[in-house]
Amino acid sequence: MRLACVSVPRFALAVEARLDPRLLRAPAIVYDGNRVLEASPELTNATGVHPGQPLRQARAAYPGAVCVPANLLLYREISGAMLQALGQVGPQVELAEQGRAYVDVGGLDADAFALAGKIAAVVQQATGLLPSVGVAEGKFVARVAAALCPPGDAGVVPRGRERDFLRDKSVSLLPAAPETIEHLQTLALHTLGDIAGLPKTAVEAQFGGSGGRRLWELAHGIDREPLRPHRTEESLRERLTFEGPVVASEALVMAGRQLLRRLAGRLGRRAARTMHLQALAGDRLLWERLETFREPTADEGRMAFILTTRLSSLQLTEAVDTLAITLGGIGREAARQPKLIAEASPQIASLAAAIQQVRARYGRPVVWRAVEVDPCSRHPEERAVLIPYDA
Amino acid sequence: MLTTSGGTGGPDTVRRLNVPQPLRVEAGDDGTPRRVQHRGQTARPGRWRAVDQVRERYRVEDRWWTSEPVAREYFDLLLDGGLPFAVFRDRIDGRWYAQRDG
Repeated sequence: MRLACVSVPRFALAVEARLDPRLLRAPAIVYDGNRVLEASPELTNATGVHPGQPLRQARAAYPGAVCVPANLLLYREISGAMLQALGQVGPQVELAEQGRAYVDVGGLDADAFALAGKIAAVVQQATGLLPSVGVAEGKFVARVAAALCPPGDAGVVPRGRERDFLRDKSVSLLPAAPETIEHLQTLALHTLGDIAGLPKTAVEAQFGGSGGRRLWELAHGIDREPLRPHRTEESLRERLTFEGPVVASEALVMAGRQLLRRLAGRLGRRAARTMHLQALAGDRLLWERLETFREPTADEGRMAFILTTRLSSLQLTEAVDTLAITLGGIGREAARQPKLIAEASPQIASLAAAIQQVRARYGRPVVWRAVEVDPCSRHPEERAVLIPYDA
Repeated sequence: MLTTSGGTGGPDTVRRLNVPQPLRVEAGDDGTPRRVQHRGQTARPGRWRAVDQVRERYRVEDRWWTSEPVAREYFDLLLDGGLPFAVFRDRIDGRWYAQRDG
């Protein structure tokens, strides 16, 4: 399968450098929590700072490094923009990870370099980031071709020349665990050509049946891993712009409920899987929150409950002028299980009387019931509470 | 920082369900649990059990805009003998807790 691998090297760092050009000139670290997410190449080469390393260690290794916290929401947004831009080139696009995507270019009737140039241009226009592009048969060869190009350049491997292209490339380019790469190097297998020169059975004997076979095939430029196209989900979006800037959460809640009413009307008999809330000032995103429902829902009341909970606890430092809600993952609503015994049935009444007697006997509640308070909370301890049965 | 009621209110108060329970975990260099001190339903310290498989690993970041942010890294584990078990590491105080996602 003829694919283009589109890759923005050191994606997080590239995004941050767009916002803070200091990072282009100084050794820099992007960190998530207390771990390194990405580091400038010169920092990695000089001091060994690497992704996953505790930030404290990395700072000690090079105290002068500029450290910036990761903005994961922004990276997701920019990856989404990249995906959408690539959709203009070909209909089948897979986002492999943030900053790296594959496009099926098999059926596209264009010179490979011209196509790669077009891909780089649309990505740069949509994201402000310049990618490297590799065009080849299969994901692995395309990825290696892209990895060896500087941003803005393209590497094209002609069909049938994959093995020649890979011959002198380092085994460290293989998508394998660091231990496997180390194992290859201890066996004096430094290039992909070294592996390709061995019988398949010898590689299988060292690295196991399927693992060894995969290494051998990749070294030959054979990669059968299919493209898994990104599916565009239907979504519904409504936004409301206030007449003047708003800070009070009550106003946001009221606006949110109004938006939900509109969305529920458009949703009809279908259900939504996610609800994305955004508060903006002009085009600038001040706050956002993605809520994933435990099951698809069309229940406006349930959505409104979650919306109210989120917005009423919101502490904004700036005034909002626009509120937007997007319902995503539109599909059919899942089946619901009704209660076996209706609340007002005689069994419930006699049970309640018995529970009251037991409470009176012991002087404290002994029968409790679970009540859902925030069933969609991301924190399991906030979803339900126990209250005395007769409370 | 994780703050919990500990599930011990007065007799008439509301009790939280599924409150995270502190536990001891031995993790590898990559932060993945290798052994956990599983005490089942008892209050005793319990015995150490090896982690057979990490089925899922994911992060929950929330309320970062408040003074009580939540930052957890959850691990959905299979312990030796095939027992499913979920733990998370509070990324703010660095402690481990058991909690099922139910």
